[in-house]
Amino acid sequence: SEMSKDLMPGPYPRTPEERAAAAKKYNLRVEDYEPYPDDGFGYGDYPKLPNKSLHERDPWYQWDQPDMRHNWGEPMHWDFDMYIRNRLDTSPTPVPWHTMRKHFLIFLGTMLIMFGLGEIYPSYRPVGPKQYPFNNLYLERGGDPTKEPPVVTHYEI
Amino acid sequence: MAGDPPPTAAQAYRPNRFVSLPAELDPETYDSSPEKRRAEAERLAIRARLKRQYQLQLNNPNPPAIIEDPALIRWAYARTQNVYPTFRPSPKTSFLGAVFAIGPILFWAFVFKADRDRKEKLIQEGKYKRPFSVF
Repeated sequence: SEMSKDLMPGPYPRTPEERAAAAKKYNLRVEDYEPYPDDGFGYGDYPKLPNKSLHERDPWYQWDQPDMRHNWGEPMHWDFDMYIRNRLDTSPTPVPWHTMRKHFLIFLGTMLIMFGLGEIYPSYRPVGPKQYPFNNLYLERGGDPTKEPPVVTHYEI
Repeated sequence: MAGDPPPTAAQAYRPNRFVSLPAELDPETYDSSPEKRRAEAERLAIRARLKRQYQLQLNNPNPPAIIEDPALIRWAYARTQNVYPTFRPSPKTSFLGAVFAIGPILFWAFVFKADRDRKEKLIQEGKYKRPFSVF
């Protein structure tokens, strides 16, 4: 686009002057500006903003872009498209995360153990083999109608 | 351990990367010091300057066709075109590249070869039942 090269993101800032220039470029205070650590991952001098989703931003403030809860010129998070309101929500929960995780794992573990035990040691009412009428369904099973079927009795008197 | 004071509500909450601390438990929201207030005033000044620039463009009688947002352009540029120039082979990046790029290829090559060898052995021994093919 028509923006000059010094307004675009660049390499990791090494000197304090480069840091000040980068902070000014991204419309941040020099104290607020914190680049990603220089591990060679490709972040350059992009600022490291807090990992908070857009759900946490004030819904009642007059944003320039209300659906994105974003003001013109404000630096966007590197994972901005992950933190939009259709996706990840990092807003505080009424119950702490570790409590929720503990309760869920206890429930899941208990159910899995019980289902596993039920598979290893099944328990049901006693059953006998099924008894079919008409001489064990002689004609339905393709028996010859001209011949006498073998007599099958399921009872004892 | 017995002499520790009971954990504060903020410590008991234990925010992590999935949930943030509620503002009611965060001591930063209360008792602003003069330094914090000055910092907030400076941030407000920056925000007001940007708002003014945007509103001037928005309410211009001859508005431009598109009011482009430099923050958006910088974000897109940083994520697409600024990655290769700023990339540097470091121990961490080399390790991750080996694990995620070369690892799966070697793994699946090994799995397929092992599967084929097992099937070939069964065929040689005559134990393999050929699947029915329509073609």
